[in-house]
Amino acid sequence: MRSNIVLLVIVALSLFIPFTGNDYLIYLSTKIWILVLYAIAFNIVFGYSGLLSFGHALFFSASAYTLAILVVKTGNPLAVGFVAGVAVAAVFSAGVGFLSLRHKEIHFAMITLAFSMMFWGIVMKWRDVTGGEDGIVGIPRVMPVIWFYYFTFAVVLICAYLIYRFVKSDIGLVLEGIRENETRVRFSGHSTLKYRLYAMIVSGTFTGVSGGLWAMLDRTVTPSISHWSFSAMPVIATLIGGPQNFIGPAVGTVIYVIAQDVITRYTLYWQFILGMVVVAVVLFFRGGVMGVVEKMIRGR
Amino acid sequence: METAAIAVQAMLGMSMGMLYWIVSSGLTFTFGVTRVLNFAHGAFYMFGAYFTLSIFELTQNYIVSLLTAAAIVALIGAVSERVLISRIYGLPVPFQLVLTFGLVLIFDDLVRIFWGTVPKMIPPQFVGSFNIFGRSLPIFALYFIITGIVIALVIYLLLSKTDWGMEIRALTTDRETAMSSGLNPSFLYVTSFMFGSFLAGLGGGLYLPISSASPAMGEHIIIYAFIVTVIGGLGSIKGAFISALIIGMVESLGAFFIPWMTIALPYIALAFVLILRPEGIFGEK
Repeated sequence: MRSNIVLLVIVALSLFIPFTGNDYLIYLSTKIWILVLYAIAFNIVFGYSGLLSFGHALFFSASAYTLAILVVKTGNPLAVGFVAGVAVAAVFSAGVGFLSLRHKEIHFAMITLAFSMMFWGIVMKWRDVTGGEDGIVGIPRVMPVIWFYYFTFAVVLICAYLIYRFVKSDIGLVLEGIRENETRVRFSGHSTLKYRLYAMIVSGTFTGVSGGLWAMLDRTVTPSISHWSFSAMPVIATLIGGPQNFIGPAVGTVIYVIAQDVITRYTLYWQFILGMVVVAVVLFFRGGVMGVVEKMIRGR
Repeated sequence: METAAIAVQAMLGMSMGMLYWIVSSGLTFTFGVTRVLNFAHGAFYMFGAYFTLSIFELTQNYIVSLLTAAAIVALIGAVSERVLISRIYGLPVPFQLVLTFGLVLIFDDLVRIFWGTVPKMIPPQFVGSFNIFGRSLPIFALYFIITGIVIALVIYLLLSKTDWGMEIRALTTDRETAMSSGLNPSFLYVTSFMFGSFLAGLGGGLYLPISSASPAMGEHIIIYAFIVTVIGGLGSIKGAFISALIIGMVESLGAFFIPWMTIALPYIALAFVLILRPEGIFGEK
């Protein structure tokens, strides 16, 4: 209860960020909101279904690239690009899910990673359409930076609420059941494959929403968002925040992005420090930040 | 004429397949014994290339550099296993994967710190080519193929003729029985990790003369190693050998017939296997 109030206060406070008039801060906060959605969407598959996807950059960048191509290359309105991007992400997640979901754990991680790196390879090589290494520039500005912040804020909150409803729905419960004991859920007559495919599609679709927002914020797409390090980001952020908690991924993302922003001012070797943090989290804090917070609230 | 060109292309594909085999065999080997899939295997490959490069600058002898570098990488593998990997054997798979991914981040940056970000090369080794069917085939292709076959033989002999190999087989077939009959798993874990890392380092050193060493070179090979092991069947050494050759050939013949599809071909092969035979060619159901 107390943590909910803290959460509300933080969300309410972030409404005032545009009033600082600091463009960089507004930009960074918008980015954080987008990546929060990315991590929460990712965690449907990871935290709730128990499957580690190492390929969510595929859905993120497929949506962003679809938007960029439709808007910049063929002159469609942004809204069309955005909706089409999300649809493409949904289709891709269904396809990858179909190919990978019969596998668990290690296989699943490897297969999702492989397919996302295929997309990265295509983005790098298919210069005529994707712009290769340079990416696509010149996505028009939708609205002033401040308004885009509030727009993102609203979209992310609505999506987060929908995802919350999804993971707390009957489907979400079955998913958690599968995570804990797949055989038992099978015996109770549920097709585990079907439920996992639902999870994958919902997760991929909302990841697509975050990818579209990202393209509109940066007004540029580059292959870095297809790369596997971009798939690893929600994984690491979720582990830092705590996968067993709905807002864990959000907390982890805020810490991740701010830490990255601060650390890269002092050193080029941000990855090195990130790697150390990852190792430390796995060895010593497997519940993540929210795990620690929950323990404190329970008075232990 | 056309057939000769195809034959040469197939030989080139086989040589690349052998490189994939060398790296994947190490990955499969450590996975089979420890049941931890090591993302950092690609980083060990990268270390192999960089150490070969630095030792070559000192000694000017490629073969010595290659073997010394692989031995150093084996030591790095052993230390990583003892210090970190051995602490995560009981953990859920996602934690294991993420920990070894953390190692990738650390190792990639270590390479940037010590060797810089600019790709580095050594003078070409095994230069020249010989004629086959009236076409020329570079000699390095032959070296790859020979090394790959030698390694396959070494692995076969190690596993079938030595006590160590027998214990490894016992551990991978029936862990509980093996351990209850007094095997020392820690020793097997660390030695198999050393062996697997050695193979990764060897792969990196072998690839160095025909390419260059760069900080992100490990990620390309680890993706290929993943594709190879999924197609071959996770944990199957025989499967890794066959599927590495398949991937090498598919890629190389694909570049010949349908060049615009080349990058997608290994993944299409992967998708095919996943649909037709999800457990992989030699995977156990």
